[in-house]
Parts: sequence; structure tokens; C-alpha cells
Amino acid sequence: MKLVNNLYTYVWQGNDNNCNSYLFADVLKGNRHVVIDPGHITTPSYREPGLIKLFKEMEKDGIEGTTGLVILTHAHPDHCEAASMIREQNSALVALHEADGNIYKRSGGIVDIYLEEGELQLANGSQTRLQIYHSPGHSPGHITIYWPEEKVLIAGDVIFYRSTGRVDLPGGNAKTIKQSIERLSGLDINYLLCGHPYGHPGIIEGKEEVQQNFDFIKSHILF
Amino acid sequence: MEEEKIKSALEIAMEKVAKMADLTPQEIREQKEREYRPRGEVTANKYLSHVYKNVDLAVELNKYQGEEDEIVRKAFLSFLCRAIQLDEADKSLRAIEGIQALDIAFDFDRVKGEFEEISSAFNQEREKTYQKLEDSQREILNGLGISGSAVRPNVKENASFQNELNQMRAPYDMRIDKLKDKMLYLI
Ligand SMILES: [Zn+2]
Repeated sequence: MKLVNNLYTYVWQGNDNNCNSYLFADVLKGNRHVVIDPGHITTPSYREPGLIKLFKEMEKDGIEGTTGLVILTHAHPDHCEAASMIREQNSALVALHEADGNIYKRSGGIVDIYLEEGELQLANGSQTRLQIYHSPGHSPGHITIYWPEEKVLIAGDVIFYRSTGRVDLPGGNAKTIKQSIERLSGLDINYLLCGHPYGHPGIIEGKEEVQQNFDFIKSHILF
Repeated sequence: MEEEKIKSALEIAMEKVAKMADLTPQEIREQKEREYRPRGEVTANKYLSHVYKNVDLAVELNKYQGEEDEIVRKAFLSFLCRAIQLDEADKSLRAIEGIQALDIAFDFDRVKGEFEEISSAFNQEREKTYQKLEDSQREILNGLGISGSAVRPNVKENASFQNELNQMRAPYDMRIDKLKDKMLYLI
């Protein structure tokens, strides 16, 4: 579904665990797309075809052409499993933070680009300027992606609707996720896009709603 | 109980001596090699992994006499020589320092200096190769529409970097091998 400008959201609607995916359409040369967190190829418990569902939703939105870049907010399989297949089929590149690189490579993934704190520019005539934040805590190399022009934050598994990402998985850290959330809460956000539809689609719209969500998390969960 | 233990240990030793009496000098030497070489290697390994400080090393190396001493020291020396590697400067310098504990008249400072010179020239050239490939990868990414300060191409795992690196390091590896050879036959 088109959210704003050329940003599309794909909220996971299956029964098994899988992530929400996001897509910037036509932002690379040759009108290629950028996909963020393509999720599972097939979900582990109910064998739902995650990647096929994603492709079908993209088709419904009239997204044609190929993906040139897959960005992974982190290297957990429910976010990154399909990246290798997209890479292979589309000659796409895969990008993530180096601190999650080894987990990804251990699962057979190939890393083309390491993303660090800073600006990521996507150009196809016009430019889309994104800000990459290193936001560890759920995983050591978790990144969040901020689009200042539209005030969008793609938060991965750092923040959900009224909750935060788990910190009990390998590499998780309660103290650092708190710091990451504290930092992100200072951004000017109109759309907070979460990594999972936990009890809510995970697309939190409106400055006030976003603020309330941060306030809730800070007062009820973190502090 | 204790007496029985001592007895059996003695018996074992006697059996060993009896067996040795049947062996040729060559076989005796080989048996000693099998027994004492690992001792030198273990000492060297413990030293490299910082289990021993230098003072312990001297004590450890002076435990043996005659042929056994020669075997242990040779094994120690060859283990440390093998540990000298182009891209492991700290470990290599520690290995050279460890060899000094053998108390052989040899210009180890010169060897250390040579190693440092080779290692630094290699690192400089490797950095240049890395930079060259990173620049060309950035250019490719630019052409695809991907750029910015957040972007760092994964050059280290790139096949062409690995190929170039392998070609580039060959003459440095040869120089390191020569350096090792100088020390390997000191005993
Ligand atoms: Zn996760």
C-alpha cells in the first residue's frame, strides 16, 4: 500500500511470525526499487509463502521492474531470509550494519554494503535522502532508517505499538535499546513504521500518535 | 596402595628400558623425538598464548639435558618460527622474542627490525589496494544510484580484493620465509 510519496508499506497479514516490509519505488537508476526487510521466504511454523505474498502485494500496487537494493534493519531470519533470493533473482545488492554481518553471513548471506551512521542517498534523477541510525539493543547491528523529507522512521524491531523489541535474544541488550529509543524519540516523526504487526498493523501515523507511543513505552516499559 | 603405585611406575620404566635395549640408535632417537618434541611445542604454544611470561619460559627450557634438551629446543624454535606470519605482527614479534629465550648468539634485533619493515610495507600496499577497490566500488554504486556517508562497500570479502591481495602478498611472504629460515637452523 502506498503510504507517502513513493514509499510503500507491506504489513504482514499471515498467521505465523514474519516482518512488515517497506519499499521505496523507482528510487535507483533504471527505476529499480529499494526493499527494506523482505522477511521470510516461507514462514517456519505454518509454511506460509512470505516472499510470494510480498511480491503479490507489490504487483497489486503496480510495482513493476526489479529491486536493486535490499536493506536489512537487522539480521534476524524473520527480516532477512528472503534477501539472498532477491539478490540472486534481481542482481540486487544487500546492505546491513557490520555488527550484524556475521550472523547474516553464518546463515549463508552475502553482504555487498555495510551501512553505518550517516546519510544514504538514493538517486534516480531526483534524490531520496535517508538518514541511517545505528540503533542497537534488539541486535548489535540494528539500524533504523529516517526519511526527514516525509518525517518517516522505519524502526525495525526497536519499537512497536506500545512495546519494544526483545532483548533476550543473542546480542540483545536492555540498556542499549533504551538508549536507542531515547535517541529516536527526539526525531520529528509523522510515520512510525514498525517491524511487526504486533496487536496493531505497526504503522503509527500522526505526530501525536507517535509521541504518545514513545511516552507509553518510556513510562510503562523502559523507565 | 601407594607402594603398589610406585612399584608399577617402576615396572613401567623398567619395561621401557628393556624395550629400548632392543632398539637401534636411530629408533631410540625417533622415540625420544616422539616424546620430547611435543614438550617443546606445548611450551612454545603456551608462551604464544600468554600462559607463560618470559621468566617461566627460561625455567621451562632449562629442564632438559643432552639429546632431550636439543629436541625440546628445536621443537620450540620451529613452532615459534612457524608462528611468524605477515599479517600477525604482534604474534610474530612475540615469537621472535620467545626465540631469544633460547639464549643463542644471534642478532635478533635485526630480525625484528626486518620483520617490522616488511610488515609495514605490506600493510601500506594492502591499504592502497583496499582504497583503490573501495573507490572503484563506490563509483559502481554511484552509477546504480547509491551513495552517501552511510555507505561502505564490503571490499574485504570481495573476490577481486582477495585475488589482488593474494598476488600482492606473495613477495612479502617470501621475504618472511627467508627471515624464518635464518632462525630455523640456529640449533
Ligand atoms: Zn528481530
